[in-house]
Amino acid sequence: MMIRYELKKVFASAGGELAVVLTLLLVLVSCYQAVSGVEWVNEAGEPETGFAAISKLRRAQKEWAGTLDETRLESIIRENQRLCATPEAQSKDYKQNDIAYGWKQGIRPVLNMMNYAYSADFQEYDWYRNEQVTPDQAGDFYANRTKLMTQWMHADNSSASHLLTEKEQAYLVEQYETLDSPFDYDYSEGWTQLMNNSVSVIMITALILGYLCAGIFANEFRWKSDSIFFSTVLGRNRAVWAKVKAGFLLVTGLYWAAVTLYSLITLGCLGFDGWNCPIQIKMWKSFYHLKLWQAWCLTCLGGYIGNLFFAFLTMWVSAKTRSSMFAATVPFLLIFLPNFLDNLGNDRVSKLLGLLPDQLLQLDQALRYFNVYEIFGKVFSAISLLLPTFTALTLLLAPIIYREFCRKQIR
Amino acid sequence: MDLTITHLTKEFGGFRAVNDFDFTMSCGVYGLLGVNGAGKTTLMRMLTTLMKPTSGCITWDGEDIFAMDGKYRKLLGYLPQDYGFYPDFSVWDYLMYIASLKGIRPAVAKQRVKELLHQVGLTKARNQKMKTLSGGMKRRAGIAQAMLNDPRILILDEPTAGLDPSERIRFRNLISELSEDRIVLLSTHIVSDIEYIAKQIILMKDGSILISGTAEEIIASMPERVWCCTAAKGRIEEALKTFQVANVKTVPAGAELRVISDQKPAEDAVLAEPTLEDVFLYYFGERSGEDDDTL
Ligand SMILES: Nc1ncnc2c1ncn2[C@@H]1O[C@H](COP(=O)(O)OP(=O)(O)O)[C@@H](O)[C@H]1O
Ligand SMILES: [Mg+2]
Repeated sequence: MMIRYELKKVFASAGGELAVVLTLLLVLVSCYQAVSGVEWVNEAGEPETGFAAISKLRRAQKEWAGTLDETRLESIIRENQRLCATPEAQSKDYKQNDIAYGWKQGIRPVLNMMNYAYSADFQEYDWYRNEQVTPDQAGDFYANRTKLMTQWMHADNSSASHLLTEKEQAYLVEQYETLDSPFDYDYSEGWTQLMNNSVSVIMITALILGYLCAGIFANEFRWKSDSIFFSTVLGRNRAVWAKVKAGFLLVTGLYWAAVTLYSLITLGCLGFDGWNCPIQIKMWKSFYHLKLWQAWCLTCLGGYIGNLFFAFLTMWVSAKTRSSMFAATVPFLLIFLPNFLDNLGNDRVSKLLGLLPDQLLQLDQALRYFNVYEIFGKVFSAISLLLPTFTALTLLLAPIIYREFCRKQIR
Repeated sequence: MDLTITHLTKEFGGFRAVNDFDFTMSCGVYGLLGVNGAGKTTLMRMLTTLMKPTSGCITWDGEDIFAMDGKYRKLLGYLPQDYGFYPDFSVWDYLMYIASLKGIRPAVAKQRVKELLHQVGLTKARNQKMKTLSGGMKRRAGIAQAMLNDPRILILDEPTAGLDPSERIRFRNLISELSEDRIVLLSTHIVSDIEYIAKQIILMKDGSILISGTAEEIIASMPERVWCCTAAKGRIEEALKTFQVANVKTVPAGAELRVISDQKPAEDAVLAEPTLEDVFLYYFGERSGEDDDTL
């Protein structure tokens, strides 16, 4: 009952309505960006977007779908060599090159992986490397991934060798060695676009929710309804819990509505295909063992915990300072400060930044980093630390907010 | 059923807003009369447990109200002086929400809200948003809110401030209607608000009780007398400087003055019956309220 009214306070106001409309708009814009992010280069070498383009790309990549074993890789290399030898590919005219590029779209994701796999150095990326690969090298494809990484780690001057402890290095090598191969390959633009555009959905939702949740406590003071609130029987106990719960429901409802809508529209337009492919077909170097669908679920879950944590922190600050203006800036600071610090370029600082809550809002990015931490002799990946830590902190914040607000004296 | 205040003191950084306040209340209307800054609101904030006293205590039937916590707040109805609403709630939603804060079950609350809306004359406005209500309507919604739990202790902090004269009269009647079988503590700086409805009047000055009792007792307590006399036009200024003047009424010959004084202020002065208004002036050195307040 009280929770219903708390939610009503949020949504009945102009700010609440605006927030919902903004969220919906944000989702739709992100979906549009995701869908229009898929490009098909046609026979004339011109890029196309839209549903026709999507289905052409899908058809082209589906031709090569299946287990990416040695035989398959060999035939892809042969195909690539054949296409590279065409006059269009050899031409000095970039228009002709674009036409040749168009023919390769079915195998493009595999060629990208090859650029990594056959690179001279782990940290290097050469866009044209795939053109030099010969069919007899097909067998090295998966082995090279581990080999290059190990070399990089043991090189004297690499960042890895002085940033990672021995145990951390061993952990990464083991993660690389135990990754299942050969990979499944399929058209999977849906998942790529879903992840590429998710950060804006998840982060902006966090900012909007921060704004809404800041009002739950601070508005009692702003509206001067606090005296009556606190002089009622339940005003210093159950009604305060109702506020905390309303905040929880607000985040849960709005966040999952936004993320679900975003996922369904985007995947609905681009297809669910490739859901069971390993994430390494998108992020070759990632040490996490995940399928695309698992990575997406993890990203959403991380975003949820991040949103909850930010909202609760905002609520706590708003209960403490009585000001929603100040409280609503908390998420901004927590999101942009780490970005700023990261740009300072100190590796050690960057490693620690990997454990800050803004990472939860972009777990799909965190999947790419080598952030591992040795704690009491055991090695943990960033994500395996982030999720439980911030779940615990969020749960801990709930009673802290409660006590903070219950104790308030009215001057 | 009594509310006892003993040696109650509240300091704000060395400044005593309420100073060694002692009083006991049982059933009936109590009028807390004092100028702005006398400490009325501070006293009431402590009586509603919103603020902890610096020293002294408040007990309900012998039990400390801060220790009683929720049990005490269950008995409480409070209309603050400077308060606000949830601007986008309808009157109905607002009252239903406060009812839920007061732990009243929805089914019971619906009935109670209907009754109170009728009693304060807001039935027609029940679906109006709070932010669209007029000042008087807001005040009535405030009273309805305070009455939801049928409180034993009803605390009203300057409930008539800012109301126009006719609304003020309606309000006064409403309060007398509601005062049965409970303690009503009503603060004001306007004598006429409580002159006729209060069982007891407490004059509060600088945080403590100056004098308390029935209106008659308080009037009787005044050591000086009230005189009526006329002054010529040129002498009004002088008279205002020399005497405490309760009222000035312009007449063709000059002005008719109401003077509070030990001695006869002028040859033609005649003794008048003192009123509570005169007492207020005598003790506080200023007239109560605004001019339109003297109804
Ligand atoms: N929170 C506070 N901090 C400091 N001084 C205060 C505070 N509240 C009230 N006061 C002071 O205490 C005195 C009494 O105020 P108040 O109780 O509001 O008087 P009243 O309600 O009779 O007008 C005033 O001088 C006021 O300035
Ligand atoms: Mg006051």
